[in-house]
Formats: sequence, C-alpha cells, structure tokens
Amino acid sequence: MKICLVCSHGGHLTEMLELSEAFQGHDTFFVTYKSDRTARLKRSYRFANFTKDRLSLFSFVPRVLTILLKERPKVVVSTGAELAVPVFYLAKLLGIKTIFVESCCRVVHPSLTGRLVYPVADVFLVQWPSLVRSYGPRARYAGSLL
Amino acid sequence: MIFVSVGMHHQGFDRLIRAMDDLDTSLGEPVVMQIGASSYEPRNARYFRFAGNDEVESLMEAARVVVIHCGVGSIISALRHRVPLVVVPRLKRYGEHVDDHQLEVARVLGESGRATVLFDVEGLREAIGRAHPPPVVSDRRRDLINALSQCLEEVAGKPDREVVTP
Repeated sequence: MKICLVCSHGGHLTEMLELSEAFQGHDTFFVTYKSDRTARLKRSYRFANFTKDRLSLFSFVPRVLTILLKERPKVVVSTGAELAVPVFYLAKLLGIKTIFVESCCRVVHPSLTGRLVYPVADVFLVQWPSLVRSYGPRARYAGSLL
Repeated sequence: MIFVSVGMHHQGFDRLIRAMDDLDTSLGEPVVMQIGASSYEPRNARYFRFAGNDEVESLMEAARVVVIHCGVGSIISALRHRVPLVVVPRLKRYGEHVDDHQLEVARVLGESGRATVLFDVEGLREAIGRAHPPPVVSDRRRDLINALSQCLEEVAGKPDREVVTP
C-alpha cells in the first residue's frame, strides 16, 4: 500500500528512519522540510521550514493538498513535528487514514503537535506509559525507541 | 576527541556552546562542535552549523565522549554507538526550546544510567570526566515496530492483494 511519511528534518526524521522496518514492502514517500539530512531521501516532497518562515505555511497547505490528491496514499504516518498538523487535517478531509507516533522525547507532558492531531488521528501511539493518561483513552503505549 | 552536538532545532543553544568553547583549551583533547542555530561562534573549538547524517554519525563514532542537547536524534545516535554520553537539556527560560520537555528525557536517561545528565553547564568538566559507556537496556524498539506494522494493516483494511481461489 502507499504510505505518506510526514516528519521534520531532525530527531523526528531519526525516529521515522528507526521505524522504517514497519514500512518494508510498502510504497512510501516523505513530506518533510528542506535540509542536508532530507536531501538524500529517495522519494520526498521537501518544504521550507515554516517554524522559521511563518508565511511559507500558506503555500504549504495547498501544495500538500495537491500532493495528497495526486499520490492518494492509503495512510499518513507522522512522528511530528508541527508539519503533521496541517497534513493530518487535510488527510481527514480527504478520508485518508492517519497514524501519529508521539516522539520518545515526550515522557510525561504531551507535545502541542500531539494535542492538535489527537482529535483527528485514527491511531495515536505514545512511547512512554506515563504519557497515556495525559492524552486520553485513544492514546496507546506500544514500545519505545529509547 | 569530544563531539558536541545541539541538533537541528531552530533555536540556538549558546549556553552549552560557549561553555564548551571556554573549556576547549584546557581539556587536552580536540573538541568538535555542531552548533546549529546558536549565535555564539566558537573561538577555540572546530565547529560547523549543520551537516548530513553521515558526517554526524562518523563524529559520534570517533568521539571519546559526546556532549549533546537532550534531543532524540542525538540521543538515539549516541546510544547506538555506545559512546560515553553527557546530556544537557535545553531550557525554555533561556530561549533554547519552546518548552521544557528535554528535562523529562534527561531524567529518564539519567535514571536508567544511560547518560550523565547535567542541568548547569558549570559542571561540564566534571561530567565529561564521569561519563561512561551506556549499559544495554531492554529493547522496546521491536515492540513499537511490530505495533506500527499491525496498525498499518488495521487502518488500511485488508492489504491490496489478488484473491487466489483454490
């Protein structure tokens, strides 16, 4: 199946790459930020970092919509960070399933990204048991990279 | 060689970069720093801002001790190389991060003995001296990968395969 992998270019990318065995045998493409680290990803759509350049968020949304319509992934998977938020809401609009994996750097307190995507994510995994209670009944602990 | 890395975060980590640069000449071994968005530019240590995966990984491997911010990418990489590790959490009050979640990661790493945790850069020299190779802890990574594979099958329904009738 086709899977859209959404992550920013630092630790969130590292976490996605650590999870890559889960995507073996599937057709994947990335939606990520432009950086040295993402330049060599095989299939990727790379965007200006909108935490640095707020205005670029306005071009990010229509471009991601076009990508999702063109690629028609069956699932969107994200390890964060903030760029997951617009992608998850667009995916919801288009009826594409979403899986969010909260970063292992969140032990007790939820991330803002996590809180914003929790209402629309079809599956919500956290990496510390102590975090389940902070989110709600749909959050699930299932193992950790740390 | 001591490798210092503050990751890809868009805010700087001057507190750590400056303290390591001040220590550089008295450590008796070279210091290499990845300084990210920090505004302080080292005067003594060799440094660069960002680099690709391969360069950072080879520095992690070559280092005797690594001193890093408490970001996941840096931690996973350092633990993989089993290199003695000092972690310094970025703090919101110094404009180093958007919140204080790095304190939480620091705490769990310290509790499991996988890193020497430092909250105040005053203690850097002593922490570098104390750093030890991380012990191997139970691998919960496999559980997460299996859970994710299973979730993918569940949310997407049956995989797109041709039905073969016997």
